Amino acid sequence: MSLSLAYPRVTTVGDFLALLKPRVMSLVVFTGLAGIVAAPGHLHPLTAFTALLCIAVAAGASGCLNMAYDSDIDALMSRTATRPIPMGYVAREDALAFGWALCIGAIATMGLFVNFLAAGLLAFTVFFYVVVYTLWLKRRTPQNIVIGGLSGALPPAIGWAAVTGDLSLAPLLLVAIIFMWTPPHFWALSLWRSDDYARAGVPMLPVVKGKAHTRLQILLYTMILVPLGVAPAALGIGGVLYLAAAGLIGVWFLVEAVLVYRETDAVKEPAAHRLFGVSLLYMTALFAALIVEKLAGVPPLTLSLAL
Amino acid sequence: MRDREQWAKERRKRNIALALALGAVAILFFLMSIVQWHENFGH
Repeated sequence: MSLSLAYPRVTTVGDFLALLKPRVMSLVVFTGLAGIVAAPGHLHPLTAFTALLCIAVAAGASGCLNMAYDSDIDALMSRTATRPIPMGYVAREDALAFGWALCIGAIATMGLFVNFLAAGLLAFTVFFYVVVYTLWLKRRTPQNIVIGGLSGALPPAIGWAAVTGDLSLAPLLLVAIIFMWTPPHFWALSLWRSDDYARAGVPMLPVVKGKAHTRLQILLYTMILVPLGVAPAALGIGGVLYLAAAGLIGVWFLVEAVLVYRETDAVKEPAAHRLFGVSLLYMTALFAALIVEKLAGVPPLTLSLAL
Repeated sequence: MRDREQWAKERRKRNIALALALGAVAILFFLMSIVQWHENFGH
């Protein structure tokens, strides 16, 4: 006797872990760690671990809630159709309960053991991603990922606030860098996934305004991002290593954005694939440089303006 | 029958994972309480 393929299998622990979007979570943890390490002051290692854990759990829970609220459109797109809810492995109601319980737990723990500013920022991040982006903007405007990108940009500020208990221009600059990085990163993806988004009725930029307009927007955002990415080196946050990473990979990023703008293969979109990869490398390199410099004791550049 | 065994096995795994996660949270809360106490009253 063989099992019917239409019958969903039993729910596993792995299904619940998959709901937490581990790959997205890892980038959020990484930028949050950079905020903790780059911030002036001291934080007990266990408190730093707790802060990072709260950021990770809240980010994962936000991803879980996103999958629950968007399970109808996820089922229509090839990239997301194999997620646990559209596959029938996890009930939507279970995912909602799981996600909200983790969110509340993570925010409460942050407030209890770290500080209220970090907890407030974490709560705002979850609210912005789940309510503003997922429930409101995503299905209504091609600016969805531009505005919604704020939620993904906030972890360095949460990490910074966990250490200092306040905010300054330095963490907001790190937030601004991720905020400006998000549109070219996701629009590159949407260039070769535009059919998917169109089928699901998600108004991504290539679907609403066309690919030529998207290519121009990618280039414009990258032209603002690259100089912004160098700014921490001039403002007393980054040192020589950071400047080299932001400058060199930034120029590479810009070259790839120009190639996307001049792309003629609108089916395979090879330039967009490359840009997507370089954008990930860029983000990783910038924040890795911040962490390495701080841990190795590399001083910020001497011409810097202390913040 | 085989489905039922599989279901029971996965449920056991989920319960173990939940127990481990809750246990880890309890330990973390205990340790953080010590850290908080030390930072507030230990000087």
